[in-house]
Formats: sequence, structure tokens, C-alpha cells
Amino acid sequence: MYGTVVRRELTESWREGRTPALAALLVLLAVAAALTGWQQVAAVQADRDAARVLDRESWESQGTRNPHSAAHFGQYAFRPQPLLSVVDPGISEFAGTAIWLEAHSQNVGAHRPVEDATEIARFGTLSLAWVLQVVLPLVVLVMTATMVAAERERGTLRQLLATGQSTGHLLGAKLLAAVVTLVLIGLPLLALLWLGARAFVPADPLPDTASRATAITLGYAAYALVFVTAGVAISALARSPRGALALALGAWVVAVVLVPRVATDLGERLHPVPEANAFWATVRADMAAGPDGETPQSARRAQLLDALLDEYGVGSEAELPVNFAGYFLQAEEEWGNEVFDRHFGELWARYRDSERVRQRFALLSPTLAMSRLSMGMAGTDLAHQQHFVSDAEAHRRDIIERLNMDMAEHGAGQGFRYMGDETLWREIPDFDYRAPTLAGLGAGYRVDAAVLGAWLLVAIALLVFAARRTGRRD
Amino acid sequence: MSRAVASLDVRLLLRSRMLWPVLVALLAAGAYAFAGGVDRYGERADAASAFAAEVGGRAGTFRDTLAAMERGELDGDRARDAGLPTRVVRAAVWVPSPLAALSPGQAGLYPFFAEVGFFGREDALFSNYQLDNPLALQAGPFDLGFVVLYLLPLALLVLGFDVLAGDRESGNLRLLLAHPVSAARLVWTRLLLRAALVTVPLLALALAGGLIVGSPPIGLLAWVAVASAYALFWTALIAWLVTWFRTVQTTVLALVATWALLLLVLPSALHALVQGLHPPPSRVTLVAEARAAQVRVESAAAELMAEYMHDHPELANGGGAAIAPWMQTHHLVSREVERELAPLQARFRDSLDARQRVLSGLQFLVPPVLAQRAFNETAGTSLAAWRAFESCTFSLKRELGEVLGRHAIAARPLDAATYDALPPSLEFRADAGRAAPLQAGVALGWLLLVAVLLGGLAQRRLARVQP
Repeated sequence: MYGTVVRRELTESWREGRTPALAALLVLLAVAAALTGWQQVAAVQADRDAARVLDRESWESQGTRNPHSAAHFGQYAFRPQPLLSVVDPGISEFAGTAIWLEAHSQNVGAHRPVEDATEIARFGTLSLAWVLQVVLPLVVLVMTATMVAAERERGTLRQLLATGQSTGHLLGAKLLAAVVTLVLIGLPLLALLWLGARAFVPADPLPDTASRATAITLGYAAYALVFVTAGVAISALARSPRGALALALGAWVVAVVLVPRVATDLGERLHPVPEANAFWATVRADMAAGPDGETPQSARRAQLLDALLDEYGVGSEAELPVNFAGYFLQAEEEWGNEVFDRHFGELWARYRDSERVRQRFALLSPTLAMSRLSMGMAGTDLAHQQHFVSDAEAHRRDIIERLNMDMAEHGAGQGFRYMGDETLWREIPDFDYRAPTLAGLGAGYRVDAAVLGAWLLVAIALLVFAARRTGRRD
Repeated sequence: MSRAVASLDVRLLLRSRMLWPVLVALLAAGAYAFAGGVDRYGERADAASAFAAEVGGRAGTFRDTLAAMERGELDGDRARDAGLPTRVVRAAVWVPSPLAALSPGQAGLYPFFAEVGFFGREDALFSNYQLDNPLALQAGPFDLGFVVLYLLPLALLVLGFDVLAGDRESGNLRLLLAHPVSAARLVWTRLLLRAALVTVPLLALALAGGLIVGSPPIGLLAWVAVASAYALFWTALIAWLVTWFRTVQTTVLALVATWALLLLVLPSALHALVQGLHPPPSRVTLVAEARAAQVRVESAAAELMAEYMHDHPELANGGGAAIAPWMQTHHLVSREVERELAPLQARFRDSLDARQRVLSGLQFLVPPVLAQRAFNETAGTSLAAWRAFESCTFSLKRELGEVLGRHAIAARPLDAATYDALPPSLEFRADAGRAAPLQAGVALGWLLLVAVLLGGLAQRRLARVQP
């Protein structure tokens, strides 16, 4: 009997025409999004690899110059594009793709792709994540919202229940029919995605893509199941197909379109980031004031010189067996690093606070939980961006220290006349980014997974409630 | 009799459970969006004026020192440093229009200030401004433009979905059409009444808010006119769509699907199409090429200098200013690197121009995109406004660079007369251009035309409506 209802439901939904039309729309959008994603990821990776090689050539061929001059020339850290960004590009379009690593300054990521796009990008970009997070719930709700309500209106619901079937079984069968439809649409898409990813995208910076892909697939399966279950429940609870559809579509507008936008805006307004000029003015003022807030750079220089003179037991800078300029540059770098840690720490804390506001709103919208989980698994969220920025900054500090110390240890008595050459430039390593594993990023995503799980439980509870109520009413 | 039907409809509407929650929610969203817009506009205006004042202060100090030197009041290091071309600064500031409080558009994305002087190349004039929260940028601001573009049509859909099918399903349509009133008149009366009830208060809020923040009246009126035409477009679209479906269920489905298509699917697809047709060149390649060019040019700096001096023997004697040798060649090196990068930079401009051209043609197929661009143009927060500001800043840099570069190469300090002849700081105001009224006029005309066409089609179908 159970199987009969499922088969009948599948046959009817496909004959009616609405389901095939919605499935075609979904597949068309998903394929277009996947193709766009593949093309973009492959192009970005190729450009990045070529740029890395060229940048290294430039670094090594800068000729004979003072190491501090080379430190100002610096290196570039280019952000890699994870394979799973084909599924969810996350904040990739809106975050810097390259960071200039130079002396004295922790620069921010520059060259955000969205700055090279037209204004229409602000409406949203076509990606698989967008299709799955925004369009899929709409399709699912439209497919399911009238499943039971239409039977009730036609009078066939009573006939079905009169066959001795429980409402729970009936709703379960309808739910299963919707799930089977989605699986029939989703499985070929998933296979296509993986085959394409393997064929077209050469390398992947993430070390645990397989487990991330599994998590992302399970996440979207759970997300779809929330809407399928809620759709069937709404259909059973509503008095008419008209009411069911209005309720389901209203829920979609609120949960999928409005709440994420309001939550993000509110997060930004509650935790605004400082305006760039004010931020850098504060950084400059703190650096100039020194660790105790009242020692200018000239006094700091004198203090360090005195300390070195004492240490080496000599009377003047010229008698030092080391290059004082290199030591002083490194001392100032270390002080600057403290200032950067403080200010950038506060900046990232604001980003995270703002994100936490969004996370709380996930209790009103499963889309927010799914969005964060999806970006996280794809390696395109704030946490991964922060990891890249931190790694790049650690590399900056390492190479600047190496250059300063080379000058300090080998350029005694030469000041800024000391020169480095190709041998030194070759000793300075290139930035080799190692993306984090999920385990390395802590338990943050478990909260989103738990919220998504809670949404699924709520949807199931609603379905159980709807089944009981339908049993009493019909 | 038709007046009686209309009057009855008004009474029913005013007592309906839908109207007041929808109206209150829409106005609350509008007020929230406007308050956020005012905050953002205020912060930006304050930051712009603070930056201009800070750079202006330094420029003023430089000018005072120059005057003191010419009066012979300086000696030692102060006299040596006075008039150094490397210390000249100008501010380039994109001053926001108050209308940015309604539509911040692209303004939050791009830098709105730059310090322009002797140092730096054009490609590095704007740097370290990308502090915005990427998540917030991704979601986009909740501004009044968003409320008009997304929520106003939703409110119209919620109030207008059952203007025909509801009465048809309940059987009331047969009764109503038994009176001397046509289905067309009934539907239009209902829809226009609903449109007025939600649009007028929202646009009154925009108008009052815009006036309070000091928006230019013409721009504000253009913004409101485009928003009104957009509301009319949706009203006509709803009128046409409701004639196609006999049940409320299918009508609701069609209306929401149309809303999702016009506001979510088509803009995303259009963006993908525009990017696919003219993909932007690679920024990382540009960065790497710029650095390779810098290494190449720096290694040939001495030859560049010799060549320049050969062409400009009048600069050969030296002016005694304390300028390091690398600073003397800096201008020539920067100019040469810029020259090498010019073809790459041109590819970016050409690619963006091509995309903008495609978008300008295809925007007519997606009215929300047309309206959004008109809002941004009117508010001076469009992509075109940013590009105009960027271009003006580059021009200022070039003009300053020519004079300061020559003085640096000759190690010659500036005198007061030369300094006073330098171009002043830039205060860029996008709303002074001609693009805004043009885009607003085009959007207004097209939206009204489409509204009339859809209205005409709806009228034809409504004339044939059977109960």
C-alpha cells in the first residue's frame, strides 16, 4: 500500500507537468552555475600559478640592492581557489585575492573580484550554492505544498484514509515521493559535478576535500529535507491548496530571502568596521607613540643603540661589530607587529561578532545555517579567509626578519650601503600556503550543523503534528 | 453602481487582515533602511571631510613654510626641507550626495579618498581601503532602494493576488459582474487602490527623508519618479498575470515565480552572461606583471635618467634640494612602469566597458536592473560615478607628477608661485554629471512604456473575462 501511494504520487506529479517543469528549471540553473563555477575556478587557478612563477622571477632578479629596499619590494601572497568553490564561492568575490607582503605594513587583501564586475553583481551571483540555498527550497515548497491539501479539496483524502491507511503512513509516503523526485534530480547532478571537477580543475589547495564534499552533500540533503518535510506538513495543516501555497511561499520569502539579508545588515550595524582612513590613522599614531605610548621613534632608536653599545662594550655605532640599522629595523618591525596584531585582531573580532549575529538568526532561517556550513565546507568563508591572511602575515614577518637580520649580521659599519644579491633573494622562501583542515578550524561548524539538525527535527515534529491533526480532522 | 462596488471594495480592503500588517511591515522596513542609509551616508561624509581637512592642513603647513622661506625666516634643516617637491600633497575625495542615504549603490565598495602627491604609481593610488566585512558586502546593504526593488513588489503581490481569482473561486464574480461594472474596471480599481495604499506612504517616507538629509530636489524627484514608475510596472504586470489563471492557487504561484524570476534568477543569469561574454582580465596577472616591469625599469633607471637629462638640459644644473638619488629617478621609473602597464590597464577598462554596454542593452529585459541602475545614477553611487572619480584622481596625479617630477629630477625646490599654480585638491561630486538624468529618464520612460503595454494587454484580456 505504501509503495502504491508513492508510485501514484510520483506518476501524478510528473503527469501534471509542474514537477518536470520545476525540475528542468532547477537542473538548468544548476548546470549553468556549475559550468560558470568550473570555468572561473580553473581560470583563477591558472592565473594564480602563472603569477606566482612570475613574481618569484621578479623577486630573484631584482639585482644588487639593500635588503631593506628588497623588503619594501616584498612578495605577494595570492589566495588559492579551492575546488569546492565551484559549489559555493562564498565570500571569494568580496574578499581580497592578493596581499602585498612588505616591510613596515600589514596590508589588507586587495583586488576583490567584485570591484571588476558590473553593478548587477549586487543582485547576487549565479552559483550552485545560490541555486541550492534559494531556488531549491522554492521548487521543493511548490512541489509539496499542495500534495495533501489538493487531495483534501478533491475529496480523495478521505477515500485514501478509508482504505485503512493511517495519516502518518500517507504523509510519509508523500514525503518519500518528494524525496525520490529530488534524488532523481540530484544524483545525476552530483555525478556530473564530480566528473567535471576531476576533469577540469587541476589542483586543490584544501587537504581534505573528500570529507568536506561529503559534509556539504549531507548538509544540502538535510537542508532540502527540512523544506520537503515542512512543505508536506504545511500542505496537511492548511485548509485549502490556496492557503497551503500562500503559507509555504510566505515562509520561503521570509526565511530564504528576507531574514538572511536583515540578519547580515543588523550584524554589520551592531558591529561596524572602522572607516579605512581612521583605522590607519590610529595604527600610525600607535606605532609612532611606541610601546609605552610616549617614546617617539628617535628616542627608541637611542635606547636600542645604547643597549647594543653596552652589550658589545664599544663607544659608538661605527665600532659595533653588527649593522645597527638592521637591528633597529627589526626592533621597529616587532613593535609594528604588536600594533598590527592589536588592530587587526579587533577588526577580525568585529567580523566574527557580526557573523555571530547572523548565526543567531539561523534560529529563524535554516538558510543562514546552511549558508555558513556550505561556505565553511567549501573553504570560502571568513574563517578560511582569516587563515589565509594570518598565514600570509606570518610569512611577511618571517621574510622581513630574515632580510633585516642579514643586514644586521653581515653589514657591520655599512648602514644602508650594505647590499644583498641573488644568493640572498634565493634563500628567502616563497609563500607556500597550506589551507587548514576542518579539524584545524575547531568546532565552529558543528553549531551550524546542529542548528540545521534542529530545523530538521522541528520540521519532522511539525509533520507528526500535522499527521495527528489530519487524522482527527479527516 | 460601479462607484458602489469600488466603495464596497475599499471598505473590505480596509478591514482585511492582510492590509495593515503588510503596510506596517513595509513602512517599518523602509524606516529601518532609511535610518541605516543616513548612518552610512553620515559616516562617509564625515570621513571624507576629515580626510580632506587633514591633507589640507598638511598642504597649508607646506605653503606657510614656503612663504616663510621666501621671507628669509628659515635656516638650517628647515630651509633645506622647505619646498621639497616630494612633500607636496593633495586630497582627492569623492563627496557623497545626500541621495546616497537612499541608494548607497556601489559607494560602499570602492574607495572614496586618496592622497595624491609625488610618490606612488596610478595603480597603487587607492590601497588598503578594503576593510569592509566581506559577508556584509556579499549580502548587500538593506537600503531604501532594496525595499523599493524587492519588498514593494512583494507587498503588491500579497495584496493583489486575489483581485480576480478570489471572487471567481468564491462565485462572487458572477454576482459582481451582474452589476453595471466591467471586470476590467473592477480589477484596475482594486489594483490601483492597493498600489496607492502601499506605494504612496513608502515614497512619501523616501521623499521626506531625502529632503531632511538635504538631497538635491531634482535628483530626489527623479528617484521618486523612477520608484513610482517601477510600482506602476508591477501593478500592470500583476493585472496582466491575474487574467491568465482561474484559481488563486495558480495565480499565487505565477506571481511569486515572476517575482523570483525578475529579482533573483534573471539578474544572476544576466550577471553570469555578461561576465561570460566579456570576462574580466586577471588582477593577479596584472600584479605580477607590474612587479616584473618595476624590476626591469628600476634596473635601467640610470639610462632613463640620462636620456631624460639629454632631452631636458635645462634641468641639469641642480637646485640644491635635499633629494635622495632614488627619489630623483622615482618619477621617471613610475612613469615608465605606468607606460608598460598601460595596455594591461586598458584591457581592464575595455572589458568593463564591453560588459557595461551589454548590460545597458539587456537591462531593458529586466526592469529591476534598470531601476537599480537609475537609482544609483541618480544618487551618484553608480559604477560610472566611481570610474569618473578614479579618472579625475588619475588626472590630478598626472598633472601634479609632471611638475613635481621635473623639480625632483633637477633637485630643485618649489617656489611659492609654482606651488600656487599646482592643481588644487579634488572634491568630486557625482551628482553634477549628465549621466544621472539620462539614466533616470531612460528608466522612467521604459518602465512607463512597459507598464502601459502590460496594462493594454491586461485590458484586452480583462474585456473577455467570463465569471
